[in-house]
Amino acid sequence: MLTAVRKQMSIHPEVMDLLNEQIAIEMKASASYLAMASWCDQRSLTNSAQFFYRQAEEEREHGMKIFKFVNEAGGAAISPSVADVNNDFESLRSIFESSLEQEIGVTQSIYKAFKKSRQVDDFASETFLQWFVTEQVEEEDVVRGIIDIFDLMEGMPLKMIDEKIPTE
Amino acid sequence: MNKVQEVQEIRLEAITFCKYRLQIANKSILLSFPQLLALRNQVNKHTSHEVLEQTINGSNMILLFMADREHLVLLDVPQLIGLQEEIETIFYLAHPTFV
Repeated sequence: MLTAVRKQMSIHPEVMDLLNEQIAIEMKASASYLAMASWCDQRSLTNSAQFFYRQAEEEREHGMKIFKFVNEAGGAAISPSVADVNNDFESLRSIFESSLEQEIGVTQSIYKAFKKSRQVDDFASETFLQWFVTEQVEEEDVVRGIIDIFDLMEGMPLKMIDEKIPTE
Repeated sequence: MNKVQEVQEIRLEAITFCKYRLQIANKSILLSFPQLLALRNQVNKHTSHEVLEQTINGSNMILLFMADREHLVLLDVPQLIGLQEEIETIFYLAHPTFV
């Protein structure tokens, strides 16, 4: 359906709203990873710290990718406020478990925007979101793999486990 | 910035390719498309369930900046909902010249 605002924007307004929510989720995830990186860095868990610093950058890049897409499609990207970032953790394993939960949350939110794009025939947004759907499979897999390391190396010193954390 | 004004009737219409006119009682506010998007975002925030409930339990009034802070408008809750409906009409209804 061609609406009165079609010449100004190609993105569907409901998809735009969901993508703005997604920007906020990605930026919150970035800030959350930064808190995780700091916890690890302070305890000289260097590989884990490096892993989370990289994750923080990646999440921000994802947010920026969506931000630019919304504006390019004629919409209005909203710079989100990031509040209530948890900085308290009990163990390295619990951090990675939180990280997996966070990634699953991001995936579900991407699915929501993807489904809406499909529902309202916003093909450009659907195609754009396809990359994120695939990316999230990889993101979740990496964290699951790390949690497997904890199970396989149960009882080993934390520093040895940290050395097995992938940094690239 | 124009004076604060209490509003009665609300009407939003596209007047050119990229200009919109928001008529609030006797006041006419011209909006560019980015200004309309910004207004939609503000109105949607104020009409979310939690915020609306707070407003109803509080002063029952909302102050809204419009057109890059050129105008400041005072709305009560029914007017705010009326404005939201007007904006949604522009965003979701088919344009007669396109069909």
